[in-house]
Amino acid sequence: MSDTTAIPPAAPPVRRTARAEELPARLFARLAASRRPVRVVSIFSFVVAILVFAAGAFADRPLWSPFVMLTVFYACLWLTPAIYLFRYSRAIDHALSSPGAPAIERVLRQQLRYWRFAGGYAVVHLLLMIATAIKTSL
Amino acid sequence: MNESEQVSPPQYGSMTASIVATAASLRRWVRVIAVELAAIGTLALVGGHVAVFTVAGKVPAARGFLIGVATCFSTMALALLVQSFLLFRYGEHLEIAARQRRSAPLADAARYENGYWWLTAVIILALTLGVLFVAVGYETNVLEHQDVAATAPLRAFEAQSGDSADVKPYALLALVGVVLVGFALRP
Repeated sequence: MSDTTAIPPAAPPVRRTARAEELPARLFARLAASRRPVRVVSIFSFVVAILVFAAGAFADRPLWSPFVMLTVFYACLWLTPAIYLFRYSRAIDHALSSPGAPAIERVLRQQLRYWRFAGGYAVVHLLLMIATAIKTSL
Repeated sequence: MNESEQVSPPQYGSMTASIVATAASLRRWVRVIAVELAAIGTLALVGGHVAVFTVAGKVPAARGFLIGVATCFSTMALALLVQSFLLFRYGEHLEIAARQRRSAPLADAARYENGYWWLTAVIILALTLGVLFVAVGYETNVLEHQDVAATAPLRAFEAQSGDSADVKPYALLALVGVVLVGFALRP
């Protein structure tokens, strides 16, 4: 009998599988607590977007002017997170009414969309701040 | 107790690989925001105070007003730093949940996220109240003497980018905004 047959093959490492654990009830309880402030922030962003848009729409300027274009841009910049957050809060509603892994996945995906937008905006914002600081110091 | 009398706990489903992947991706972006909030909070705390006390040294008469401004800066900066801390912790727990593939850290993460949203809502309501107070002060002419200073940036912008200025870059910005909204509306 050779040595190689004597040594048993190494057992695969014991790893906790993704399906092993149940989602805890407190996760849903905390999501329920987050729903209200998320909706408040969403509504606030929506109102600001409407106000900024109204400032451009009712300004005594031609439509094809820098001021109006800039207000459209800023209104969209406020409207986008409002939409993401509103969908996030709706996903929480859905998760609370029919709790389960797909609902949690949806909540996280909606949240990811919001954070991806906010993260991208944050990076652009920081770069612009640094560029402005360098430009003014020169 | 009889086995048939036992009440089974409610089932909420289980941790899936997709949840783990989303949590891992979420952690990355949450970190970016946390870093930016920490940077802005620190800048507001340090830069704001340096600016305020430099002006206070030159204009002693405005010292009381400037101390008020410095207090506002400090409060805002502290709120931002607390938000940054909450997001850092949120990101940490998301990372643990993704690495260990367990749902308990996900529930812990939700606690920090909950704190972040409550603080954000409070900050927004405080800012709204602040704007309302300024608007009321403006209407009652309390702030009349500050009109010129308050509208200076707007007038500077108008001077720089009047209706005769090249509209194309601004139109491009507006288009970017519309695309962002369209992107947010996709199913």
